[in-house]
Amino acid sequence: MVAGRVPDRAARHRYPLAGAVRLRARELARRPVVVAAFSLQALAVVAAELLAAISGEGLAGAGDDLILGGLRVTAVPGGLVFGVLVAAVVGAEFGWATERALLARDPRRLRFAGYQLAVAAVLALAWWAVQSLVAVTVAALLQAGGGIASGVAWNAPAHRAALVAALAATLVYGLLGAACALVLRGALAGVVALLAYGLLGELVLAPRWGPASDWTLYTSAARLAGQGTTPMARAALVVTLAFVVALAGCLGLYARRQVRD
Amino acid sequence: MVLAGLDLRVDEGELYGLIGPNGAGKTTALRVALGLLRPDAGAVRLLGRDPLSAAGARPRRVGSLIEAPALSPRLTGREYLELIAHWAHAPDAEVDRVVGLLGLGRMTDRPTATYSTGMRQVLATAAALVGPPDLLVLDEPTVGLDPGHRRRVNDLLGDHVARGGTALLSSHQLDDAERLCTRVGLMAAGRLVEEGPPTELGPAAGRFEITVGDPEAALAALRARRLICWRDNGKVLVETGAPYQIGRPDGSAIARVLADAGVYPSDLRRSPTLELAYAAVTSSLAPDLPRPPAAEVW
Repeated sequence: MVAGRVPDRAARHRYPLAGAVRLRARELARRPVVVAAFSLQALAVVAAELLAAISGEGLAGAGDDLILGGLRVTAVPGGLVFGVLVAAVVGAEFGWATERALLARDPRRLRFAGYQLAVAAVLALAWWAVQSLVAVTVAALLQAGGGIASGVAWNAPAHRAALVAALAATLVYGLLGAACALVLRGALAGVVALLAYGLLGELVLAPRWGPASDWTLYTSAARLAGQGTTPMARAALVVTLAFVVALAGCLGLYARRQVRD
Repeated sequence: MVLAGLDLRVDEGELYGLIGPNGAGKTTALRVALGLLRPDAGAVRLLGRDPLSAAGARPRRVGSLIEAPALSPRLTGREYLELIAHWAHAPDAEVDRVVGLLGLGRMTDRPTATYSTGMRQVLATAAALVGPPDLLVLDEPTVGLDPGHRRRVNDLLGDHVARGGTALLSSHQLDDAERLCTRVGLMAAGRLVEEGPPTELGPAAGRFEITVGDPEAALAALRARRLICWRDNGKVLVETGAPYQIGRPDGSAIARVLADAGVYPSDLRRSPTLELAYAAVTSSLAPDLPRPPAAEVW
């Protein structure tokens, strides 16, 4: 210890990790990939609702209820898109090697992983809020402007359930994306892993085998949003299990991380 | 295997330099010291603790710069320093302090993505100084710096140690290492080949170079005092560090001997010892190093 150089304790940050997360969130808001992903998903929701309103064929099995349809699209595939985004932004830390600078200061791997997961959680909340707001606002305007009477109030229980399902799907897919990036130590590897799981595993392979199709995260998140026939208890179990396994897996594997690059 | 039987101790208040050829294991040694890598065998202590230990709730007071600077490109320089300060539980005032120390000024208002290589290196050095740390671990800190920033970083290292801090650095800048370091370790093939104060390493340890108008008169005066000396390319070399040398005359003693004989040199300086020590390690010692038994391998 060097005499006379210890900063005043009162001058230290009360919540240092929160400060680091805040700075990282600010950095994310400036990244083109984040802005592009937010914009593309919002455009996709708007386009889906617009097409549903024009064609009159409904959206995501919600009939004339464009608000419910929009929220279901926000849950899935919106959640999967968000997972890919999180894999990219968390994995970028490895490309910039900021991990090395931070772990040299504090070697606790779990603190670093927790920091990354906290950043992912903040991004998830922003994603959910923005996409849900876009889905509800555009749907309400289309229904009002197009004279589409869904017969369902904007704050109906089905809408609230879909809103919660969208949040759950965003969080779980985001956690999966962060876990892929942390374990595979890179943006590209994380994105490829999540796409392989989400697109190939859940949307291509699982539907070809009956027993598996009802146990995917995609099907379960859709069910929580009110779509499909999977038992609700099973859907809740799958989403919870996915969350726990992704969290335990990434923390367990990252805990022994050796920084060679 | 990158490190083999490396036994290295850096005491408080030291500025210890690791030098050696590329691939000698310097950076790996620093990574192991910081807890970024886990050794296969052996023990490592950093500030008295296992560097990989998760025990203790606070970050340690260690600033580091390992290989290429690690910066978030979309953050400004100041925001990046704030991130490090938050992570290290240091107050915001620390950011202003290091910005002032390195004279970064308004450069820190720009995103780091717009920085040149040298500017990135300076900012990463500033980040290492946030805390302030008790121990600095720097891997080639002056690579890519302009002469002004190189001098400033070297001065900061000197100040850090003068205030009671400790520094461990690797460098290919032998003149800097010779001037700054209190001790130097020469590494080759993952082992510490030679260690000691920079002026006492290698074949030129304790050697002085004298530039004088009348070399023969200088040689006569020095030999009259039983000093080992000879002519080399117009200069007179005096050996004061050889084990068979009686006494250890320093530069001023040599100047007095010459002055007594009426000889006044235009230049009298220590020979650059590290350069020769480094050459000895890289040219002859490294290939003949015995391989350690498996039990000693990290």
